[in-house]
Amino acid sequence: MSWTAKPSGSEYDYKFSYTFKGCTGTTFTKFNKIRIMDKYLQSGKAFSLLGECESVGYNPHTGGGEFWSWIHIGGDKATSHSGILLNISALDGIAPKDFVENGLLNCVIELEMLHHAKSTLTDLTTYMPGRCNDYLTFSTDGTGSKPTKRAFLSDNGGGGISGDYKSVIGVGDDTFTWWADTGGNLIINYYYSGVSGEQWASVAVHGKFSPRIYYP
Amino acid sequence: MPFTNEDGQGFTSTSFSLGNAIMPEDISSMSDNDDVMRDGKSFAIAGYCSTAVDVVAETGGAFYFALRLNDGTPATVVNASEMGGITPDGFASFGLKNRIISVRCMRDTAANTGDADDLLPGGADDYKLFSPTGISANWNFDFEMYSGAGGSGGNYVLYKTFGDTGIDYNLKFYVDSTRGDLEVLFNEAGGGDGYCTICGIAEFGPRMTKAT
Repeated sequence: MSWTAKPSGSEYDYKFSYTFKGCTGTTFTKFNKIRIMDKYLQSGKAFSLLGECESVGYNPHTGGGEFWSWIHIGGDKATSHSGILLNISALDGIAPKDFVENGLLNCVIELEMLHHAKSTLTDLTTYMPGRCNDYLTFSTDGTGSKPTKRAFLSDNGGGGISGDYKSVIGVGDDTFTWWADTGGNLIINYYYSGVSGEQWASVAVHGKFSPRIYYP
Repeated sequence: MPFTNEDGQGFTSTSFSLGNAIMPEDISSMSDNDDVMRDGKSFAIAGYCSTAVDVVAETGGAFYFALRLNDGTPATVVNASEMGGITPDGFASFGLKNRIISVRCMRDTAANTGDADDLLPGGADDYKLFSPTGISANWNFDFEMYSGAGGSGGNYVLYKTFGDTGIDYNLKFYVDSTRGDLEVLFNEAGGGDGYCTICGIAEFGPRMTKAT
């Protein structure tokens, strides 16, 4: 169906101009939002750039990132207690491309940790955020502390406590071990070397991970 | 000159459309995308927290600062309501309260404002802030805290002393309980320099509070 003009003189006349408007105009002001988005993307991306790597390596152009966790973990002394620090299938934020498939596999992972341990779960709970002793997770006097830092390569995951691809922090009788499982989740294990009763730890973690770096 | 189609239909009897109209609300969806990017990035991976914790599904962030501090005068390190870059959604309202905060910086004292300013980036001695010989060194201030509801006088501060023999200085970082700004206060305890130059990074996570 095409439109043609037939001369007969009616309300639509070629001597005049007419304006047709189907909806509220889409102004440049609105389209300029796209440029603002570009700036967001540029600045946001700056946190996850891939550095130069050897040409023999294969480096998917995924982003790295950071995360923060605050957990309590423990139970019977002289027993290893494991938990998840980063669950790649249950994230609230935006993950790098393909993150739910690969997670933290083949990443360089840096961890900063502060913790406080108590012998009962009830006491330990007061060291979690918003409770009366929350600040003591970070220092004994409420003035902050230097976090313990470690870095490791996650490889294909599954390192476990005895594997090569893990980080270990020993503080007194408390030992914490991190590794990525084969699904790419970040696992934490807590072990207290006492002989009876219970021991619980409030653990605050700031972690960073690189884009995936591995050989093809 | 009336317009009709080949079937003789005029405008009065025919409606036509060029496709779904681009409505203002469609364009506004870009604003939602902005929020996603602000709270997202890959910087925003939410780590696992215990059920005892309410953690807001939002991003953390990082700020770089370079300041000259005057003895006894608080200075703002992060102004939550006047940021030039990307911040988490709602950051201007909450600022840095209830977050895990890491502060890493280099600090050095000076006897006058001129010497202190020379240590700032672009100053004649800017490299000396990072080491007297121009060879980089470890951060000489590297600490972490939980900011809680903020305040300079309570337990939610980074308070550390340093100095030469017989001279004590201290730096105290804390979050303003009203605005959520990150503040720093330099003090010298007597006989020392009245100025301190700091340059470094402040990183913070999502808000974490007691589970309700």
